[in-house]
Amino acid sequence: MRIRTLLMVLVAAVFFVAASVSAAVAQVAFPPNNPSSTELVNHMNVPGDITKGLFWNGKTVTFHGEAIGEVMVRGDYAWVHLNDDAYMEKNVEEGAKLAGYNSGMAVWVPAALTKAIDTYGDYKHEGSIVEITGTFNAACKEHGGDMDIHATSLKVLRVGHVVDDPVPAWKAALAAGLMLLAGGLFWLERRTRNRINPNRGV
Amino acid sequence: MVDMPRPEATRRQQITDYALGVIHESLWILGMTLFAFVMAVVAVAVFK
Amino acid sequence: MIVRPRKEDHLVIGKYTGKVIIGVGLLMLIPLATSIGFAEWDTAIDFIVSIMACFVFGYGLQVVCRTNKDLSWSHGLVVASGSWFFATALGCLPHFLSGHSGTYLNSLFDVMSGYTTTGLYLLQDLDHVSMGLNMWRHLLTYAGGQGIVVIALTFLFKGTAGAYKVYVGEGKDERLLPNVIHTARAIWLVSLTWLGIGTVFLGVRGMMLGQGPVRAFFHGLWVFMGAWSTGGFAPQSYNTFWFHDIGYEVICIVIMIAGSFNFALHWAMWTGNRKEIRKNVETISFFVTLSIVTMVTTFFLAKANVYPDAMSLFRKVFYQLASGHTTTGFSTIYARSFVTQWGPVGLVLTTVAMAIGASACSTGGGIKGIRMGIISKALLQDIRRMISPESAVIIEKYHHIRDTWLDDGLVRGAMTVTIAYLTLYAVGTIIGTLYGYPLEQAAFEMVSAASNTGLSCGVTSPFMPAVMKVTFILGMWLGRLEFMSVFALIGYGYAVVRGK
Repeated sequence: MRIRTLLMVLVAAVFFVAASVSAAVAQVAFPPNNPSSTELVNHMNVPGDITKGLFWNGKTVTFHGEAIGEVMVRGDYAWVHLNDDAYMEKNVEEGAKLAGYNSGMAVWVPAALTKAIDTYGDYKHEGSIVEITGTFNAACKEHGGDMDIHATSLKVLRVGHVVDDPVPAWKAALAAGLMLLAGGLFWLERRTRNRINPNRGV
Repeated sequence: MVDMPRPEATRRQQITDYALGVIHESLWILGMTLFAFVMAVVAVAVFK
Repeated sequence: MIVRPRKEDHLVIGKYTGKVIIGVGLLMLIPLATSIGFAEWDTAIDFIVSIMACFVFGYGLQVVCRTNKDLSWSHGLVVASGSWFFATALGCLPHFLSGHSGTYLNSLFDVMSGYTTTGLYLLQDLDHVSMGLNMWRHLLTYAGGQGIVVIALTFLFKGTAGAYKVYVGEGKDERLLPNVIHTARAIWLVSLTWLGIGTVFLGVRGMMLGQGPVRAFFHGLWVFMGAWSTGGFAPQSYNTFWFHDIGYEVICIVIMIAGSFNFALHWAMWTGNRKEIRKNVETISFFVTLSIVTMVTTFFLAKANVYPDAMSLFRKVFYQLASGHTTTGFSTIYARSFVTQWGPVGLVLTTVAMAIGASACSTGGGIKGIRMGIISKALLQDIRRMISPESAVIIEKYHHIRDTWLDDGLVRGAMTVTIAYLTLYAVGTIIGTLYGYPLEQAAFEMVSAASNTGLSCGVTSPFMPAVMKVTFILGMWLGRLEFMSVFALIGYGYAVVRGK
């Protein structure tokens, strides 16, 4: 009887410790206000009732993503677009698996902070991965209702790099082969056209 | 190049015509846009 | 008794289809030059492969299909839709070879969407796509907006009687000028003039907004093409939300609406007939329906408190609705925001705007303003007849460049096509709901595809069921060519198999 009680207490203690450790780990790995862009766009609290949505609206969030395209400096502030999708670390040219569309957030940040971003993502570049902290707006008053984050701090997590896109041998061979075939058909068309009816217009 | 309904018009007059046509159309569309803006202002005033 | 087409028929169709495909190959020289200019060698090879494939097909057909016979009406319709079919199958090679599409079906979807100026896309990782491929995507909408047949007519056809039949097969029937080749060139003149002016305005605005000159130019050019063709492709995954600027949005709105006008209207305005824009049944119909839809949506979203002030409300509501009604498909909100912020009523109102669509003989889609005008007037006419004495003769007329009497044949034609569009919308919606999408979202997306708009509420995705992808491809195609030429193609195939 006493051993059984002791065992139960022991099991309960183990569970308690496990739960606390998990909670602590979860806290560190996924801080509660570190949403993804998908979560921010689908920020509804109550499905089907848009007046009760806006769960993240006005809250301070930490967001990270690949800086893509360009920075658009407008006075003291600038627009930067950060993509936190499947192509954040590698793009398709580098061999990333296709996993859907791009997804990201538009960030309005003091222009001086953007100087830390050295590379912006495009065909030939994988952009720097940047982390920002700021206020999320579901419909920003300052920016005509845009969904954006007004960032107050910016940190580069991983510097960007140049991407190579070499031509595979089979494609070059295919191109050459088709060029020959097309050239041959073009020549044939010219030759047979005049032979059949020299007066034909078209 | 293209048959013109006003063959007597010079090249310069044609280009002026086209430019005026573009401006005219754009003004109509901007007018429409302004109308929509006014409606938005009214709507917000009514419901706020 | 269905007459089986003879060998001569196949030859005529083959020959002219081949010509159009050669035209597609030539068009690809522009993105090829772009890739070379930016030292994108893999993309350049993709285009070389695709261009040569078009030439092999096109010149192959020229060699095999030797004939002097001219096109008849049925030939014209089959050439129009057949060319579109092959232009899509070959035009999607750059997408497929780039590795961004995944499957060939996804590439077909994107290119059909481009030619039909829809704007839905399945291309993945768009933000890392090459300049060459982006040039091709936008050129597809610009070319498709004119009509790939119109392009071929301008450069590759000489005979005129048959040429007109193919022109009509592509869904236009406006004779701007007595000679159809001259009509095609006049359409080009209008489009190129706007291209020059529009690109300059957008490029300059882009630079004012902090873009570098190269990006500002290309984005200006591509956004113009997307707006004018009412296509809706944009160079970034954020669509025109990228710019965060009311100036850019207003310029886009002007170009979108101008692009949605009938080419005959442009031509009339440009050749001295300034009053046409006020009197034309299509512009009146468009402004009336756009105003109504805007008013209702504005009031509904104001009440729901989605946007904080009047300026935001106007910018978001009017831009999305103008984009939807002109069947462009540009957006300044995320796709899912239609669902999470606009809600079902917003979705339905936008769907109505898309369904009605733009003007006839323009780059736009949908049921079209002229049919809305004709049907409204027909309704009015019937009401007047009912309340008038029996002996009274009530005839209505409408104004489209010229005044035209409303006769029963005309009304019947308008109603038939309208019913065809509504049926297409309904069939696609039902298929969407069968796959589990909520009704208003399935309807929004299918109407977007069939009216060649391209706004998405999140239903379109690379992981969408293949049946829905095929449904949308067919919907886009039928919607753009206004049914007739596709039916002619099917009829031709049937006659080949079953004819005597």
